Amino acid sequence: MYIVIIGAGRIGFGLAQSQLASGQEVFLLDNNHERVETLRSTFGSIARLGDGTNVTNLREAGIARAGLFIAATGSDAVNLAACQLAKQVFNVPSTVAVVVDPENASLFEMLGVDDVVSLTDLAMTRLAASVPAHPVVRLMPIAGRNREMVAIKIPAGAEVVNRMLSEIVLPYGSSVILVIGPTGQTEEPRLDTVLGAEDEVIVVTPVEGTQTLWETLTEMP
Amino acid sequence: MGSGRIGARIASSLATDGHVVSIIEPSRTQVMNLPRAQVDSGEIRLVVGDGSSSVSMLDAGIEDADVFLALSGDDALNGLAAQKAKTVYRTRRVVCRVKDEGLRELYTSLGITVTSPTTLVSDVILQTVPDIA
Repeated sequence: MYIVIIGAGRIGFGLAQSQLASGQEVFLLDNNHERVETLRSTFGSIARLGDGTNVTNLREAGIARAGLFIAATGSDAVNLAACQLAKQVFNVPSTVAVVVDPENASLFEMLGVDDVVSLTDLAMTRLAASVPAHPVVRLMPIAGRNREMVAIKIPAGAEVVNRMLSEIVLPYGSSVILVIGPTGQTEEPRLDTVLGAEDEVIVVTPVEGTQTLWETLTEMP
Repeated sequence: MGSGRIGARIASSLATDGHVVSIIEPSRTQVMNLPRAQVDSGEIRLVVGDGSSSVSMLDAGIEDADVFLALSGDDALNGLAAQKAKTVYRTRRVVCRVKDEGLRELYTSLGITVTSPTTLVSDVILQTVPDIA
């Protein structure tokens, strides 16, 4: 696939590296001369100086035949404008924007960006996961479906301990996809799977159900 | 949003006409353009902060606004702020200053009223010399 990326900072550079390694065709635009030179000296002529919000520069990058457009500059505003141009003017089938301000994530999706990656949310998730005994860890948003994958650890003494999955009422639309025991053994959930203390439960749930889900799985009698 | 020369002048004249005006300025140094007397008297409310963040926009009273003007020198920032005002806060009239021609077409197609000082000034100048226009 032909992938056009704007922003050749750490994210853009890393993306170029990984996508080239997996055999994709990649082209980058950046408005900083040094960053463009670094890319060209590392990977050859896959980058040029240009403004990701300028139609002419985008056209010169061959965006018209791109299957994927990724806007990864440090400016949320530039990333939105570039994705909207990619979509509206060049009909790129799939657009991805990186955002720093998490409040922009839902707005960008509403405005037609196909996938939004929120750096702050990712960092928060990672940090939350490294705090011991944190009760709900957001593993992954399910793009465009208003669902997320979360991990919840069952505390000792919780009401759900020693109950079968079929006896537990989860929020509408949630499904348990894996149960991981305290020693790391995994179990595919069945209706008669019995939850134990310190089990880690992986669930795909509608975003608005996460809080209720957490309450259900951690509530003390 | 944006208190460069254009934003400052418009804010000042709207406030003089009796409108309630708030101005969001992303850069602290730019506020020099604003008429000091009108800011000190509270005729113009000044919010220093990120021009497209909801914190600044709410602080400036976007929820009660009849009109939102995005007039900074940054096309993409104006586009983001204007779309946020329209989509999130349902502001009835939104105007966006855009220099780049491609972006002007994009925002127009998305239903935003755009304006460009450069084209306006060029048009006026051409009108003053009809023989060559």
